[in-house]
Amino acid sequence: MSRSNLATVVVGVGVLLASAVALAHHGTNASYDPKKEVTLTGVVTRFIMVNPHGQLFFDVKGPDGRPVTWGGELHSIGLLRRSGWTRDTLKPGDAVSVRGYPSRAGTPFMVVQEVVINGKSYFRDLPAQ
Amino acid sequence: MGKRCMGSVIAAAMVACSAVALAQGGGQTPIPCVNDWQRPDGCVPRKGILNPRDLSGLWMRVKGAANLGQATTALLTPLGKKLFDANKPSFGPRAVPPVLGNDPLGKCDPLGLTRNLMTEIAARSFEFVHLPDRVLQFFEYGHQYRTIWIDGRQLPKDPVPRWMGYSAGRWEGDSFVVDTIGLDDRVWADMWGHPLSTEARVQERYRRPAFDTLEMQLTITDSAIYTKPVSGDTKVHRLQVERSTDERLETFCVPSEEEAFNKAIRDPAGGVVK
Repeated sequence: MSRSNLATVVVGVGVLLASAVALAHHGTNASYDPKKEVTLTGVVTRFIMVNPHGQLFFDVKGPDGRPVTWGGELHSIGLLRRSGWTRDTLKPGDAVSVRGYPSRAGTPFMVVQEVVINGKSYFRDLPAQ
Repeated sequence: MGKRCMGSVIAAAMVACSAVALAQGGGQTPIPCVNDWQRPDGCVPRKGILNPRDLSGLWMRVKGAANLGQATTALLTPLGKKLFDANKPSFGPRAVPPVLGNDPLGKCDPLGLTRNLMTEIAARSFEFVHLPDRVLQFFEYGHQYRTIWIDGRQLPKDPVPRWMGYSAGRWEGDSFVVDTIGLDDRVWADMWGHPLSTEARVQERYRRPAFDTLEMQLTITDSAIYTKPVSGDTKVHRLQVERSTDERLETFCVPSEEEAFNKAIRDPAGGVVK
């Protein structure tokens, strides 16, 4: 993967209240820290829309310039569909901005809250009304 | 007039009628509140002719807890406490990362009746379908269903336990009362890890006070596990229309896909690589 395709980690860690949008999911708050929201930019390597959990893998430029592969937990096909996702929403090579709650264990995993591609937002959960 | 000509005349008439209907609407089309995952501000609640003895439709919980609550924990018997302590949930006050827990959900084991009834999996619906001798209840999560017999039959005397148990329903006024026995004790009563025994007796009381509203009160009587009957709060459900298709979504919990997900994301996110 070329460096030009790898975007930088742009927004650091912020302290936020747990999103009202977030729907309870199995172990979400135990595995991920909703008080430390991160937004990362990177390039999609895999997008899997399966039940009961969709998955997104994307490469992010690490501090040493090497790509770090992040794994993102998504909801099931049904809930993603309700939020406007399709199997073609993301493809390998797509440049994306991914917002989510990182692993409490410090590993490069997050539960995804929002993906922005080409200026369009896709939420993991249903947007707040 | 040939069939093709007749068809053209009918089509033209339909177009004309549609145009008239739009004009009479003054250009303002009210936005219906169809689904709880898509409720625009100012939308108009669904209206219809209420038949309180018809529970047909897709329903989603909009009020009431998805668990039995801490009051239930206080009612555990010594055996109940022992089983409760052995259950390691990933929801509620005792939540641990799923990789460190043992929630049957994490392996796509059946949720069992009471967890399905509390529609604990976020933003999921269930559907009632009335037949002459039974009511079928379909649960979106796991693509599961149960049968509620309404033909007057008695519950079995010595049932072989099963995930959804054995259910019989009856009408008491406009309340639909469902009794269930014969539940498999491998299920958890709720997402917090409250246990059940095979002796548990579950009663649901449904009431439809408005066209788009369905209330449900759940009571569990299980003297091996709880010192007295336990009951969560009243669950309130709103009538839904599935987007464009008016059909429940297919939400299987696929064990092979869950296992792959656990290895790829859930376990390392919880700090464990197996």
